[in-house]
Amino acid sequence: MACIGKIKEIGRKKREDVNLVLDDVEEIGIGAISMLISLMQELGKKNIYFKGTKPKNEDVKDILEKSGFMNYVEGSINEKNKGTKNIIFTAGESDTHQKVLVTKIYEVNQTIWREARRRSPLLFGRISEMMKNSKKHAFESREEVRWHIAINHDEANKKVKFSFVDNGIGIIKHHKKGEIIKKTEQLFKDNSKMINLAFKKGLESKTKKSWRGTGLLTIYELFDDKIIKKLVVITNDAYCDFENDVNKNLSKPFFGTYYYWEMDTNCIKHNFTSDD
Amino acid sequence: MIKIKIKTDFTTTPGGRDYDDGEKSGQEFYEKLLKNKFKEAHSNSEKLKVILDGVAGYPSSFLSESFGLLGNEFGGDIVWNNLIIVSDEVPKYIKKIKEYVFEKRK
Repeated sequence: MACIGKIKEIGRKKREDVNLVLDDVEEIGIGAISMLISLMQELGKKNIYFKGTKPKNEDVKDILEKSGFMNYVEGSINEKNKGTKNIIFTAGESDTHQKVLVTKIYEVNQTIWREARRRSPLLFGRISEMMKNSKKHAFESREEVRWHIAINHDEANKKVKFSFVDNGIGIIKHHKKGEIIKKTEQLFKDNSKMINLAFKKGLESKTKKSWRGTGLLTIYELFDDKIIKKLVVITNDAYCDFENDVNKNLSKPFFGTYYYWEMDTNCIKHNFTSDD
Repeated sequence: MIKIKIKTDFTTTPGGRDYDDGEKSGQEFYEKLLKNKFKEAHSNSEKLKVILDGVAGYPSSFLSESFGLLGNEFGGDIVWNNLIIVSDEVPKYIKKIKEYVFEKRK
């Protein structure tokens, strides 16, 4: 988060191109990669461009190359890292994302359960909702809409990692426009606890205000039903790790919303055949 | 009984809430299919059966908009007493749809 904040600062204040030196990076996840792409595109709109170097650590370099990151930058990919199922896709005007998502969910079920052409209605519904919510609520204008979804396959461990990131205004700032946050701010001293409870529907009984329609509840339901695991949400200055029950306020807020979760064979299997 | 099978009668990839969200939205489903079929069923003293199974999945806003509009137009009690929702793959959709049918809209 600190790194993302620093890059944003450079973009905002100095307005110069960014040289991203990843030589000494020893660890990188798809969440960080997605945030980086999102930021690169946001600053690219302000004519601030990126150049850089890949990690020296071969394993980390492989993760970066296999992730789909290289589709957004100029640079070579090692032959062995081409042709993976991993994908990072981004907002656009067309609805082709829904159809792409169908195929990607088939691949998720192939990786985890070794089953071909299986639908996961709850997963599809939730990711679709994230795309729509971002488009509708996170940005002031349609032209600014920018989100990225990364789906990363770990075939050996039958695991799939997901991240969704948008660089919009964030859940808290969005709801500050309405009555819900005003009322709840009186009850909570920090945003992370408020967001945590918002996801668990607890705020409805305290505030008598419905958070329905925000889409917050459904991702938590998937976690609560053990269809997904390791759910983390970062929005504005709130960080919520639902698996480890960690909620904290970030000193450097994230302007947008970030979701991360995983699925593997320890999750509840909830998929169905597709006869398309 | 009058039936709608969303997978074959409307789409395999339901969209978002309204036309602003793109193709195959809840609003489009309501205006092009659900409203008229319910009206037809109700005027013939029949129930309307809506089969949700077989599609890629439903963003909650799709169900919220389509069934929320239905409840708003015809009244929650009338709708719920004359609607049969089939959702074997995701049974919890049925409870959610009931909430949407009875939800007061602005």
